[in-house]
Amino acid sequence: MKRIAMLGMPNTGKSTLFNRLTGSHAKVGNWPGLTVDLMTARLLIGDQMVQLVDLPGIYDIDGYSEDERVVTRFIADNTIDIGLFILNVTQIDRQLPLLLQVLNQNFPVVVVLNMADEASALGISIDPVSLAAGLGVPVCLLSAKYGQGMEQLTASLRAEIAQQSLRDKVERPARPSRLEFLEATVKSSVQIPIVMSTTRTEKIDRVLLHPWLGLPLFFFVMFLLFELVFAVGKPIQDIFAWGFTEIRAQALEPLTQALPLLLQGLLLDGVYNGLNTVASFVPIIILFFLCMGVVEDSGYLSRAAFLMDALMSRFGLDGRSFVMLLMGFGCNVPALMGTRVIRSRGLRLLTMLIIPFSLCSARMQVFVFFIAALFTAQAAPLVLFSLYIASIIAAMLTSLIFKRRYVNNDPFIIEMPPYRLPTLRQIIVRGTAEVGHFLKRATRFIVAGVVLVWLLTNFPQGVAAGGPETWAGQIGALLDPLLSPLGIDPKLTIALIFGFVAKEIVIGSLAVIYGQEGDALINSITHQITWIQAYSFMLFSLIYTPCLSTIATIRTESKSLSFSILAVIWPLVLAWLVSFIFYQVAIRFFIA
Amino acid sequence: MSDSSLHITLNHLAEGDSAWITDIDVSEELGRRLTAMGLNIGRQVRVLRRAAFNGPLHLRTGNTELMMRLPDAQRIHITRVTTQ
Repeated sequence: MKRIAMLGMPNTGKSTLFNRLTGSHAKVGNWPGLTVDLMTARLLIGDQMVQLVDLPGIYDIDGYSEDERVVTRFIADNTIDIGLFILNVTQIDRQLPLLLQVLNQNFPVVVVLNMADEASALGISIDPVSLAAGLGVPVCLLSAKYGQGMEQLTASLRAEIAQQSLRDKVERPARPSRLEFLEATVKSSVQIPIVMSTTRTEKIDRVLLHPWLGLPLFFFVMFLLFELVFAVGKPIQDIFAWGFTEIRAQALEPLTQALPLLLQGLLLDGVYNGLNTVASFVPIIILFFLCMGVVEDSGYLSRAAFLMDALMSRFGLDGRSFVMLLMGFGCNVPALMGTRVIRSRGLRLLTMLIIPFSLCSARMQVFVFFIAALFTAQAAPLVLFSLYIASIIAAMLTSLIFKRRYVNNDPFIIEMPPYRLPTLRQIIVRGTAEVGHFLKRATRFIVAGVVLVWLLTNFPQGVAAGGPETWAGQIGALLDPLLSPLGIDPKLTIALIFGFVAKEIVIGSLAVIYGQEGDALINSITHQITWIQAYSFMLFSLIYTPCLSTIATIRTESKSLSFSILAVIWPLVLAWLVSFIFYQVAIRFFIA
Repeated sequence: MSDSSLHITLNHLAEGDSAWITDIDVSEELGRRLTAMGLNIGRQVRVLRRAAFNGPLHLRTGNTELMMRLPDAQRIHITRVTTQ
């Protein structure tokens, strides 16, 4: 199969063109030796099926940044039948050095002059025919966003492929080999007005990047996004949960009734609950990426980086890390996936290491339950607030400790593209693609994890589920010397083991562990543990692994086993230290 | 105005002012990136704004806007464009 590789600088609309060409049929492809995913899709050009690969945006083929090395490696290791080079036509003057590098590779090139819509708005006029003659390769002027000029591109690709399948090699026109020739060619075919009028972007920036208003507005925008994702997402999640319960009660339970009890338990409480866990993430991942799509495509994300940089750079992070950290307070999983906008691997890993400390909505349910059971109504808001503070301190502390290990190697020069209104199509294609990736990669891991915990809490056969005689209970007893200095008793340890799967099931698991429900459960917890123990348990729950889905996401996004292990072990160590210090200080201080 | 006050580094350029780039004293890697962003010797650059708390500069050159941290801007030598 012929392979077309898309090349170009960041912010040239490469991905938009990719989506425009392929619809939503794109796949994430693993390439040997590459640390990033590349989007690929099959595409019918004329009568031939071709493979289209979207390479990361780069500034320089010989550059040293992560993405630049990825592209160099890809070009070296793979055959490229057509290099599709995408230019932002409004910035054509400074993109010529990269074009020259691409023209001097030994594969055929088709040049796309993208953002024709913006060029005409800026008064830039282009003569693609004379440009094609000067460059010696086909040139197509188009707008990937609005779809103008797409027929011409497919025609050029079809012609190029047809030419390649001819037996006799066609004499190709010479390509310019020096930058001066290229500049002369462009100068004669592209007219850029000397004085640019004050653009809409400048006017918007005057407000959004205002010296005093900028930061408050940024927090307000983040708050709105957060509300939008999680206020809208929660009811949809509830409907999903209701649907899953109904299917279980109406169909699956009667169907599996004939099976032995243990097998039924394995299928329903293990496998089915695992699928349920995976499905519960779908609504918020879609909503998250719809919102992030708007923020990213509109150009606001780089403004967030600008506003937050003075503060975040001290922690080895940047403003985009901060946006993802904030979104993590809703749910860690989409926030981890969202770190893909950070192109430096070091910076991305550091951000992924700190996101799981964000106190997500699932953990909040656990805290609200314990706070209501053990604290007065006056103390309750303060206790919850203190946990949010602990969450931020844990993240920042981790970042300070690891910032030398995960260094941002890319030069910190970020382009601030003009504000653009994303099209609905762009956003939807993105959202559905992300959900597909999550489902494909996380399902097996999560289902396996849920089944494992089910086994631990239900075996050996014949003991009370979730009780001290189960394997989980035995592990709890084994860990007692380690956890009792934190005030965490074996029953709470079993709850922590459940919490490893998902924080949503912790309260439910307490009912199983204590053998009581509702008010009776609260009553026995109030009598069996002190508020100091409860707070220590909450600190531990806050800092140790958020959930299996988070780990699965870290694993698939980082593509590194050692990093994933660190991302599990370090929070465990930190959780132990924090709870230990708190518990030991608190019992001396308050009991004495 | 004395001649020396015209020749400064980019981090000293006031908000709204423009300058010509006279010298770029950075690593090869950063130099390539700057070139790709349109920051070459001889090009004109304008400081659109400075972020609070000694944050990055918001720059414009040609049709490209970008942000740059102050330590990087310190390596770029400029001649201020004077408006008489």
